[in-house]
Amino acid sequence: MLPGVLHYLIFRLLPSITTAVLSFTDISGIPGAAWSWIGWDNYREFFVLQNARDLRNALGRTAIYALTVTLVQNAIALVMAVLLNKRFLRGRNLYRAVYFMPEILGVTVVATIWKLLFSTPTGPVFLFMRDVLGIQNPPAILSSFEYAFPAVIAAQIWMHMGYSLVIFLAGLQNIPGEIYEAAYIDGAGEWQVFWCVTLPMIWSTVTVNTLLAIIGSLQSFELIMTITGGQFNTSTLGMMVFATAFGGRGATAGGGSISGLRQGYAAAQSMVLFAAVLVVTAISQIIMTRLERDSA
Amino acid sequence: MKDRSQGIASAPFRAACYLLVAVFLAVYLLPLFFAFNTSIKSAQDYLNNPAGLTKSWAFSNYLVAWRRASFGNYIFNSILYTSVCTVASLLLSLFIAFPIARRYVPFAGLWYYLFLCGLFLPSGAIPLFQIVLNLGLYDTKLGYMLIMTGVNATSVFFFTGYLKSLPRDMDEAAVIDGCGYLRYMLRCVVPLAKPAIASMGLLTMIGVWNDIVSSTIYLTSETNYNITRGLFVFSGQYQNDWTLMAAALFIVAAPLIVLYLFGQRYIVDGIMAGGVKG
Repeated sequence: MLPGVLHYLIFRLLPSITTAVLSFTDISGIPGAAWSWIGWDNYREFFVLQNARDLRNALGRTAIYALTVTLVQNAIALVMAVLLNKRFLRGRNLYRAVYFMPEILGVTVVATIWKLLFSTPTGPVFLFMRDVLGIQNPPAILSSFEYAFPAVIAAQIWMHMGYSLVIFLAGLQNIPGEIYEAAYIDGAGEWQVFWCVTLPMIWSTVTVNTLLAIIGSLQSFELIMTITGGQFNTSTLGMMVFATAFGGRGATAGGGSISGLRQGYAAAQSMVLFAAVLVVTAISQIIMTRLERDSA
Repeated sequence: MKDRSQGIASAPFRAACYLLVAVFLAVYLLPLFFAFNTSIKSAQDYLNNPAGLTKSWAFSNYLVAWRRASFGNYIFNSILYTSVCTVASLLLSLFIAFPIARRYVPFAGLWYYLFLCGLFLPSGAIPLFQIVLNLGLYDTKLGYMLIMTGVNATSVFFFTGYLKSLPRDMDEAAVIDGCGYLRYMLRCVVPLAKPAIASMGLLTMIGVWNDIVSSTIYLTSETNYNITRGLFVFSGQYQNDWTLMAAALFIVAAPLIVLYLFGQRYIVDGIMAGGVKG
């Protein structure tokens, strides 16, 4: 037991906690470089000294990313899970396997597929816009300041929808069949059954999925990193932390880079992100509980 | 008796269900099919007719991509990382879960919360980087494997839940027969916990194989790259060589697809259990 606990403490808990400590220093990722305590300077830089528009963009974009992903991903996953739970549907396990596939393929492979789909001028999306929709000079989506961000959001949803779906299915399978039987005998339609039986019965699963999606999408930056590298107005807070600490573009909301691997500053940014996760999780928890009480 | 729990489900409703399922099948399968189709086209064929079905059947793309991206070395690294980290993670988690499940350690309940913390606290990537840097393990295979070996809450909870269902009498019998703790764990507990190990093992394997963030941070020399890092770098170098890139992505994904075909049930079981307990 001891080696496992030690490994967990040293490589998981200790770093988590010391992030807060390092956020008050100007430590860098360059080995042997001197560092010192600088108090609240990192936070001041992030909230006050930073260009107000950059700050607004960073926080706003993170919020849009998390909100869109959470709502759309769970809505699609819930509808598909209810369908895949219908016993008259043939080949349900096959469909589930297909929808879950991108989760297995992993970030790098999904990102490469996305780049291929949106490539210009030979990608299918480009061809579709030009030849089917008749748009003259369609934009190169993944290097456009307007459309790259929605495309990355779509990638995130495409990749993780299957995960939410599987969790919803687990919840649905716990509902006893007799309840449905009674509802149908009483003459309830599909729509009524969904709102009055299914949804209340799996509300705890809905809550779990919402929280998982919020926490996941607020922190996730892997697809942003691999698809656009944080350029073209796609950088969120999670991406900024990574790029500030370990180099690369996307360290600022505008897609620029910060030189010198400023890990103290990145630690401060990740504390801001952590605070955001806590606040949003708490708020959504309250909303979910209230919704449940109101519907009961 | 006829199963009435599904209602009468009118014909139009059934049709609508099938339609929606089919639309989403297309959304998931078409991109994969397009990528596969591209991977077996010659460069000329792709330029002439990017959206059409392949006429050239250029399976040689796979060989060319394999050689240009020097995937041989990366695959070897990835297999090393994946097998070591998976076995280590599973053993560490099992040895933590067993005493908690049996309440052989004091405050079994509190241990639970210790591991729960890991789910919510920030990732700690920056201090972790400093630790690895100061240990002199930056850009080494050993350092990377130490990072990727993880005792996470999900597998500890999953194993704890599973091990609770094994009979306690077994432990006592083992003690009476003079079987040592280590031998008992490896010879008796591990074989009985096989389904749980399969679920968590596959999930861990997929996670390590697909890792791109840690390999970007910690592996800077090419000799240490794992395969996803290789693919990422390759896709940067051959930006417009779409046929080769498509072939490369299937080389990376092939082991996962095979794994998925055989282990789907275990993978889904693992996810479901994790989600329900949340």
